[in-house]
Amino acid sequence: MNSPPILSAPPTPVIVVANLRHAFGGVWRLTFRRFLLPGRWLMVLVGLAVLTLLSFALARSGGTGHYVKWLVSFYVAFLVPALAFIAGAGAMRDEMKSGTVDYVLTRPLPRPAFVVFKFFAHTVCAQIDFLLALIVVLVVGHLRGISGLAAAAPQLLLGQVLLVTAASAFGFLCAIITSRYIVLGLAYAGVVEAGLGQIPTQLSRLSLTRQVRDLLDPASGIVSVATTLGTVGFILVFTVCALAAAAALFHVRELGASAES
Amino acid sequence: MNAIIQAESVSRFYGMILGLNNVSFTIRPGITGIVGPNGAGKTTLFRLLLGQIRPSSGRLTVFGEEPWNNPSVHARLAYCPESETVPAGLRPLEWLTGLGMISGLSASDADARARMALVRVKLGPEHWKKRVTAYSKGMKQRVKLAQCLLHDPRLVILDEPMNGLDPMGREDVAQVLRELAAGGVSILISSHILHDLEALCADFILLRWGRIPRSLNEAASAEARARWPEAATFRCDAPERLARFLFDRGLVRGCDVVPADGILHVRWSDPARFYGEGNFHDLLLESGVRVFEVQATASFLEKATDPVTASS
Repeated sequence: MNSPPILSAPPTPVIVVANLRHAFGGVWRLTFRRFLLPGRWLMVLVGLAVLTLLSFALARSGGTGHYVKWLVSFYVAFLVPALAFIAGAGAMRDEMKSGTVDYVLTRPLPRPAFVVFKFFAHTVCAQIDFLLALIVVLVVGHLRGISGLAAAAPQLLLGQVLLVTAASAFGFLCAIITSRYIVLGLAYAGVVEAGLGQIPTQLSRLSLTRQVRDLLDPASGIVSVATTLGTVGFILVFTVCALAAAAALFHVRELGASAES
Repeated sequence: MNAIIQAESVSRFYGMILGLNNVSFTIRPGITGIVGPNGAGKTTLFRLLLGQIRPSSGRLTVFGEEPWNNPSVHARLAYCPESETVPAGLRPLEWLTGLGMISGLSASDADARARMALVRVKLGPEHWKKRVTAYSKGMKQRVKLAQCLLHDPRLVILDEPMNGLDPMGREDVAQVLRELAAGGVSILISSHILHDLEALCADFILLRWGRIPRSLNEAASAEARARWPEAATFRCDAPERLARFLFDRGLVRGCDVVPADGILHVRWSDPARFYGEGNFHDLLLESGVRVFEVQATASFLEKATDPVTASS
């Protein structure tokens, strides 16, 4: 029987020190490999098929105005942030299970750096998923004769990218705070997005989806560069704050702290 | 020798539940076994050493530094958990390369060291195309051990690494651990397979109910291990005759005979008189009984961890 060669002596010792660049590469690899799993893609394809059917039905039953309203109010302002939040929180929660806690967080990688690296890796993968979804709704709309979608595509893409980034960061934060992150997400959505966001005052600017809707709403006409930059800046500040809070909480949180021994 | 781990009055509670209760110990370089029944506090001890949880009170140092959230300590240790959870969908080389990079190795170094580590634990390239989740329990144990070897740790902590391994697999793992120890790596290992631990470890820490009972640890001390076994089992053709012979010489204080199986269990009155004077071969020959096997009835660890004998 052919047995694999066995080293007779331990390999030459190397001095290993923490290296954040390499560590990011490692976190990216582990995240991206899982992103490529056939089982995950099957779920994505099912989701895209449902979205295709939904868009097709809406584009047929209503006119251009109806479809665009659905696209802005439901797809961009509700579906994308909700799914990005759940995906972000789920990804972070997975990293708090023994598979990561035992193998990754016992290595010389500062925990805040891990949170940031994981966020970047996860968000890039999530953006690819949502880009496919946006392509689906735009293509279906175009095929059903909805006008003006090609011109609005850059704005829609910008709004989606911003919301996916911010919702993912908020999902990371909620997942680190509690395993019942859905409750936190619903509370935030109820108070800020559905509550403050609907009040016709400056307070509504606290709502992320409100900001993005303003950016995309055809009724608001041509959106100025200043408004666009303001929206981008606000959402990026929100993202950075949520991520910083997540990293700080993860730094002080005990892991695997249960009574089993 | 300098201590690599030092615990001074360390306690850890989970609310009202006890994890570790006021334990103090020192672990020196070499292979140290952590022994105790389920719930004794082994995993709590490991989590404290890994810096994943903080002591409720007391002070714990690893390489002279507190391990809580300390990358400098993490750079020098590796952990092989008891849990079989491995990342879904990853092949062993992908997983180990990613972990190696997180440890600070470049992609090419991590890949090279991952290959070496897998071969070292006898998981050859023919197994590398399978996903780790599809591995058998024994193969998972080997990959889990391999991920400990990537970054040349100075301390390896292994929680039940022999679980699911056949005897040859256990010997392979033991061989890797002996090689590591010979190379100056300290090893902390827990296992329920006590005979393997006895064969492997130079020192032991016995835990029970979150404490390190002094009597148990004295029973497992190097000095105690040097003593002769207090009981033995003979397999022979005439167990009653052998029992009479040993009683006549005042060597035993009690015995049990299982004539059908040719088994005689004896409890020595003074084991040194039987083993220590170097003439037990002559004694057995003199008895005229054909002896097929002599075995110490209980290993020192079994005795020390047995709830009946340990509490007496």
